[in-house]
Amino acid sequence: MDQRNYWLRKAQTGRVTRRRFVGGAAAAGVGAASLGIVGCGDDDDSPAQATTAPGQTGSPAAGSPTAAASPGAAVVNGGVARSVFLGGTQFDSVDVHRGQRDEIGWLTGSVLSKIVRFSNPDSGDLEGDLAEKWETPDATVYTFNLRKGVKWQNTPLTKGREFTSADIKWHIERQAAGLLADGTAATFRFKSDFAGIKVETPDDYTVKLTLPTPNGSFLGRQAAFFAGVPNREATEKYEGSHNTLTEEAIPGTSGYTLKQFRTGKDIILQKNPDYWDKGYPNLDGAINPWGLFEDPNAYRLAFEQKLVDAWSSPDASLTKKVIEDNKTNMFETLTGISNTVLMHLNVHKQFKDPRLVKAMNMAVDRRAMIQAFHQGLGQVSGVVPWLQEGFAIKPDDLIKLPGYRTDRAQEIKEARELWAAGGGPALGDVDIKGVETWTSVWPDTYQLIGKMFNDALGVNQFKSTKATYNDDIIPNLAKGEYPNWIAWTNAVNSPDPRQALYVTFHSKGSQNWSKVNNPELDKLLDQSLVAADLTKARSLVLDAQKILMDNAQYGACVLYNYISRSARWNFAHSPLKTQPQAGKAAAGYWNTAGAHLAFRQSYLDPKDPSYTDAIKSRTLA
Amino acid sequence: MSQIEAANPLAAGGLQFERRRKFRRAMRQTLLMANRNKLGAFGVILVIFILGIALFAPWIQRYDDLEQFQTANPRFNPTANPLDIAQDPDIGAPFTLDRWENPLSSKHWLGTDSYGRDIYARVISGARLAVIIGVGASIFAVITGTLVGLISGYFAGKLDLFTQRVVDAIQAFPGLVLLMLIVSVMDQPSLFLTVLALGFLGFAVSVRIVRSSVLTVSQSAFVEAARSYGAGDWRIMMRHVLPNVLASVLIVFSISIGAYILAEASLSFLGLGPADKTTWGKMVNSGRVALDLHPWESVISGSAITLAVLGFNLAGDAIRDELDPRLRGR
Repeated sequence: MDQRNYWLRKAQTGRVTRRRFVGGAAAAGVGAASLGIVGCGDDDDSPAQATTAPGQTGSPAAGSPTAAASPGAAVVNGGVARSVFLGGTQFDSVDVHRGQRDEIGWLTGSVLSKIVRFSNPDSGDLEGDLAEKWETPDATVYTFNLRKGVKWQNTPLTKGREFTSADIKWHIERQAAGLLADGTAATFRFKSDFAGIKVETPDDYTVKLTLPTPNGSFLGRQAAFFAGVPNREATEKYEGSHNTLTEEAIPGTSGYTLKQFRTGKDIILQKNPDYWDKGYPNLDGAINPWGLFEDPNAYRLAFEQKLVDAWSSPDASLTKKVIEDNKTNMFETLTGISNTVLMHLNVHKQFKDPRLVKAMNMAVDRRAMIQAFHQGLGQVSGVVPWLQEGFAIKPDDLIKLPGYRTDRAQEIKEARELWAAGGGPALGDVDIKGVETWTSVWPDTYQLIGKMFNDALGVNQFKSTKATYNDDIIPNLAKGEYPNWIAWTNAVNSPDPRQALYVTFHSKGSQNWSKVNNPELDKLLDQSLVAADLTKARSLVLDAQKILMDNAQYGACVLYNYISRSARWNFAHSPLKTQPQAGKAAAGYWNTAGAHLAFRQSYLDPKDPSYTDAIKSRTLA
Repeated sequence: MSQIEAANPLAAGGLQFERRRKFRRAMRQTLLMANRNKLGAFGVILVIFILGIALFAPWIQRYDDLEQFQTANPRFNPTANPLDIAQDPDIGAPFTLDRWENPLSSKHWLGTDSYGRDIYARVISGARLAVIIGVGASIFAVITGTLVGLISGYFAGKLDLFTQRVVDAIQAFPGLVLLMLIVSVMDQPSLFLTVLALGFLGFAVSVRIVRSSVLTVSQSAFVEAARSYGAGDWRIMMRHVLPNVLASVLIVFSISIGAYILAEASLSFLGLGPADKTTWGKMVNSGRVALDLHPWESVISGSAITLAVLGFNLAGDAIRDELDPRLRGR
């Protein structure tokens, strides 16, 4: 079986080129960083998780293009990129261990090195980052030989000291313990990833990890965009104020350092002169204007005035039109958004009865939402999104499952029966909240969601009001007091969904907000994690998905993943899976490409006709 | 037929004659006023038109304002891979939305929006909301403002001093900013809360104007006379002062409706209006994303706001002119 990711296969077979397009990917898109700069990542926490962030435009890549611009043109050093950071202003912490949202992971993907990283985010191929090489004889023991000469950004706290194995030991043990420096317990997003791991550091450049059980996806998890290793001194100093943004809390080891990271101000990334991978990044830095993401019109104006290098409209037809009107100076990219769209129902409150959850899973019209919000650019996703094609339920099988069937009348009929049988009408008002980051882009969500459920279930009890991740959802997840909501959830971060499924649906998962406790499911997830054989792992994951789909995903209902059409100025080069050709769109990576790809492939081409003096005069000041 | 009319046909005929005479006189006066104040007449006609639309909205809007029109898609392929969908979005769904249809078709008189909803139906629905919000906020502001202004102006002294400083404080903030602040604190602006927020903003203006009139009226001889006869404060306020400041109240009421409609449109445009309702401001905002390609939604809803505000303002000015002898005939 061809183990490569769908998108990769398409790209390599040339079908993409023929069909012009591109694809994919996603989301990476967007988000992440825009011009690649931020590099973003993936996340894996699964679909059902709680927090999330959007990704709407952008993409890690910014490419270049026109037919006139040569994709293979020599890389130019210097210059400052400007792009919109997906999710904009929605940072909930400067502590990458404790942030529940993806954004801080995306941003620090450019600032913090990981133990390993994806050389190809779509296929899941890995390469060393902080680790120069590693050995793993049995998926239980991992021995990493760290790279020498990696320095922390020189700040009063770090004094530019060398990165050593002690940093990784702290990084893992802190998360496993879930404790702050003063011994108090806190919510660590990936705590269950590190439970029971024994960390040994024979010397400053060797780390030996012994997992309690074999874990085939452990390594890939360490390459995810949220897996950067933060600095201990700075992290501990700002533990008490981790919700307050400051660049001082995140000294870096990667290609960029944070020159400015303050609420309400542009996020400024500056080339790290001490980065171990000499010669990179190509750019002097990048500026992410604060808040542009929330205003589609301001965003567009900024793009047209070349104040940002890439842009994507909530209305894909508009993006298309703008590109067509500027064919010689900009190009089109299509990237699948890795931020899965999710409906999360609170199974501890209104939706305690599983019949109600199942009714909702059938009442939600996934395909209509793709039409309404994305002009058809998307495809329904099961609990494992189609971006993780190797593990996802095949489309032919998916469309036979409740909630995914093409016979809408049948779905509605069964949904109404379940709604009535589960006592739905007695619930009174049901509020399916629209999350503010989403509704800032699609403000009509409030009306459309309420009507969709009222029409489907033949009632008049649904409405949709506003919620925010940082105020209404994240703080209430662990308490089980979160509202019902629809919006993006965490981004897909790797081709392998196993750890994400574990985190979200295993009874010991650190983000099992629905408090799922199904021994059979636990067993399958346990077995899948330790399966060294990928075929067997996929089979186990499919079995686990069957349970999850039979139970309407326990209220964390994955809806779909969509595809973003972006416009980019030709001068702005960044990572692309396939380069644009005359009249044909470029393809981005589907999950956030990874900062190092941005380092290597992002640059501004001063020879391109779309390049102007204003771009040349950009500074990081 | 009344008892008098039944008992005395002659008297009945006289009454009918008298009614017709009064009606003709009223009509003649109305026409004279209209001739005297043509803009005011135009405003009144606009107001009547908008009120009519609001009143009969359910019967004239043709479609539900949230109905998404769609066309069956014979090319739907439920198992299409995302790559192919990206190339050809139409194959991904069993239907396609009738998005951005141009105006002046028999099915969609004013076209459709980005979600395939009928713009005419939404404009009509928005008219009802605009009237409810404008009139509702105005009523709230006038009632509360009149009450406070009446008490403040009548009793004067420290109470008046305190009340006016509060009013000063409210008016010191830019209106829209204060409104945004109030609505933000409310978290989720429902229709009712939006009316309250707008009314609160207008409350200060009402207090100021009513209090000013009350101060004048309170010094009148007939008030002094009532007081000398032993009438209580409450009786004097209600029986003697209030009737004499009602003209001011009516003017404030009529003139401010347009301002409330505009303020609500601003809030909705900014995403701070009632999220679950169709409003003109929200339509302007929704349409502006693709303004250069599909201007109709923004232009039509913006025009509706303009006409409504213009109508209520002109009508309000006309009422003020007619009630203020100094302005009559100018």
